[in-house]
Amino acid sequence: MLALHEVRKVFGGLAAVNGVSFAVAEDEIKALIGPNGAGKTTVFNLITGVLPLTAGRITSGERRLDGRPPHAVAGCGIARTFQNLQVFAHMSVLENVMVGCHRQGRRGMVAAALRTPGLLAEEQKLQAAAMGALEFVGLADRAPEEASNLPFGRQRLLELARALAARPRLVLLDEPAAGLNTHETDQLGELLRKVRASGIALLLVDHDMELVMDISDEVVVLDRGEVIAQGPPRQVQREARVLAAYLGED
Amino acid sequence: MGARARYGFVVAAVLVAVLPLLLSNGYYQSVLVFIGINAIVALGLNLLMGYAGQISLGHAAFHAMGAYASGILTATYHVNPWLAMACSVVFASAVALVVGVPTLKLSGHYLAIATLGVGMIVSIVLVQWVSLTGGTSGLTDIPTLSVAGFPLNSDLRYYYLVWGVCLLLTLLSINLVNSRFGRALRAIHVSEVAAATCGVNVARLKLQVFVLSAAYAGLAGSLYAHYVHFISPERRFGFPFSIEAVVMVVLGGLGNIWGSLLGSGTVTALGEFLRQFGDYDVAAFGLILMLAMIFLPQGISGGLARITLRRRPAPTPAAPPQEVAHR
Amino acid sequence: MSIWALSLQFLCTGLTIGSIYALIALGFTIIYNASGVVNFAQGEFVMLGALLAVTLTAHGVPLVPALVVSVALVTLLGCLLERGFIRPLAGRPVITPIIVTIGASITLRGVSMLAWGKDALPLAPLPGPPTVALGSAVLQFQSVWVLGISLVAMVCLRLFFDRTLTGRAMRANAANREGALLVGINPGRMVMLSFMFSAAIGALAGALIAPITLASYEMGTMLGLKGFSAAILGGLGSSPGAILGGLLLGVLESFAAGFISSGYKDAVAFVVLLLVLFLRPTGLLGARKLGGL
Repeated sequence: MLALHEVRKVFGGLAAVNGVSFAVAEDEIKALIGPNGAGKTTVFNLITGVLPLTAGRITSGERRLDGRPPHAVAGCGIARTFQNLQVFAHMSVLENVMVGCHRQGRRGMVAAALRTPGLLAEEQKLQAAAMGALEFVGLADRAPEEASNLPFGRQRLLELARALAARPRLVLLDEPAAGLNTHETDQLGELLRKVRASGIALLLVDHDMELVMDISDEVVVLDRGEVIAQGPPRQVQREARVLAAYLGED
Repeated sequence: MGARARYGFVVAAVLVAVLPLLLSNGYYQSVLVFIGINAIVALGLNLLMGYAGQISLGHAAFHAMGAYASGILTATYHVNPWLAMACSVVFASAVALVVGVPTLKLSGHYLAIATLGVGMIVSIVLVQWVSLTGGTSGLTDIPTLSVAGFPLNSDLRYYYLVWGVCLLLTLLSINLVNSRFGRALRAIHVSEVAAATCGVNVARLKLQVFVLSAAYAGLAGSLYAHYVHFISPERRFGFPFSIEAVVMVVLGGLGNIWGSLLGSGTVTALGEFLRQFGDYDVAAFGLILMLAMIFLPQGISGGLARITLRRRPAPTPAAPPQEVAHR
Repeated sequence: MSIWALSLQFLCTGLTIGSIYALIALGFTIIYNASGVVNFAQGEFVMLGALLAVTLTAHGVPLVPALVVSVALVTLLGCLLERGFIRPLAGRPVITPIIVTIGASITLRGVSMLAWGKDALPLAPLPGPPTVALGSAVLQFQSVWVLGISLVAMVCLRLFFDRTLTGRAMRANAANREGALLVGINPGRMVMLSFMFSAAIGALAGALIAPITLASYEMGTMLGLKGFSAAILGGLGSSPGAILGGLLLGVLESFAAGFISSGYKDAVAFVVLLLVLFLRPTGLLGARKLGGL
């Protein structure tokens, strides 16, 4: 579904990401973990086309992803949520998710200005798709509210709904559990399992080890821009290098 | 379009139809014509600034292009005025397309300054290219518009033309804003990155709305030329008008369609009102502008909204306490 | 005149006006670095420096004291502008201070029009012979004063920012506001000082150039915009960039006016501006990548 091949990213002499290779299969939940500054968010930015690669390749099936602008990467079925919440504050919850459906619409400026029947039909379709995503995450009853009025935990769900509305095949989740209490984190875990069950792969970055170990099929450990371990959660947990990276050398 | 917007539109249409009959003085009618022309510019600029979140300090350039293209085609080359109007809108849009590609890669101050630079260059060219534009002497004898042989040569008739166009464009703008296109624009305003990851082609949309706003300004310019029959590169086609346009949009309320009409009305009427104080008008305008920016951050429409909102009952309480987030 | 002789002439006049652009550009840079605000009223500081000097000398004040008082008055104005109209704008979107400073510019221009009328007024030049010859180039002697005093002003500014506590505090505040706060630097005061410095430099520039170009209520607009173009050319936020940009712009403009067309002279600054913004927005000496604004 997604594969990174020897991906490198250099910022002014410092290699933030240095020869990272891993893959995410369909229907898989993979976690990317590592101490702060390990390069996890950089990897996300490279995958989504926000940052250009210095070297390496990123592919999805047969297609190359690197070098494409972010909206084209989204068009290849990759959606994303943000660590620091990029909710469209003054739009309603429903409208936020409808932006997620953007690529499912075709009508442009002219049809919009004239409100053609074709446009109206399309709006119905987009609205239905957006409501579907909201129902999936349990926010359907908040649809007409202004997004910034939602409590923090709900805004995280909103971002997820927006990502799901794009009908992706892979969702990148950047610290989805940050700022959630235990109860909310459990609910998140359930929800993510539900997402995977619907046929969408997940790649998540998070510091909540319980969540990560609980729901991931595989874990990739990053330290200082390099992959130091890959495998099922329990196995990776026991590896010496991983412990050293997190706890420091003795 | 929501019921409230529809209601507002009907009220506006009735007001527009009736107003000149109440203010039958020719001077007031001509002020209303100018308000309508300015409102068209403000509508387009609001789409760019209020919805897409970009800045333009050079929109007088597109206004000028519309006016001069119409003027030159009709006065010098005797082209049919309606055809000339269409051509000048296309011309203004084409220039915006060319200018927009490199300019919209910038943001914030840099974008503001780039647009300012474009505006300044155009106004200098207008003055210097005497053979084409008549330089500071300007273009004269711009013909009147006629509809099926019926000349629009009175303030009243022109008023209905301008406001008919303005209301039509208002309607189109409202439709635009409440569509997929409009949502994408508003998303870009908040976070370009998030919009892009939702699949929005940010660069292309910014360019589209920039060109559209230039088209609005160009159309207004054309209407202006056929109203005053004489144009020259003074305040109207230079930096002062670019600023006036921005003020209309910001004062009216960024991101509020009706705000553009309100802002245009306020600024134009204010300008006319201050004129009676002779040379004090410039200083007074500047002072009012500064104070308004400080005390009316959401513009007039925002201020009105705040006043009306205060009368509504308190909103229902937020989610139950156990949803308090902790880090 | 031969091409070389012409070029020398243009170079000299270009450097003269370029020094003025450099001073104005420095003014923009200082305020921008301290507060992130682009002060569109900068040109009016220049204008007021010139016109106040005209009035003071017309009332019998000797030239040099008149210049000093004029600069002092405009400095005070800069302080009032910042306190009264910029301070309340903390936390507002970028467009707001842009419009407020434009509004200030409009107001100052309007008030000046009322106070001094619309005519261009002369200002006595600083002492010296009427002209001076440099090879085949002939310059007004005031040009020498302009170049000389500008140079002294720039050196003084550099020394101030490098050697004095306040100057270093201002630089610290510009580089890292939070860090500066933590060591006890008052950012509000730094911003106010930046406005005062820029006003002073602007007024000085106006008083220096007015004997050559005459003073009028509208001289500030173009000078301000060109000074700003120079700041962008050099790299917004870079003081050496401002100076380099100013001098370069002045010379480019002078050569263009001389060899191509004097009517389009004003366009040079804006064409240069656009080229810089499109090709290398960070300017000649700015950081390689555009940071967020």
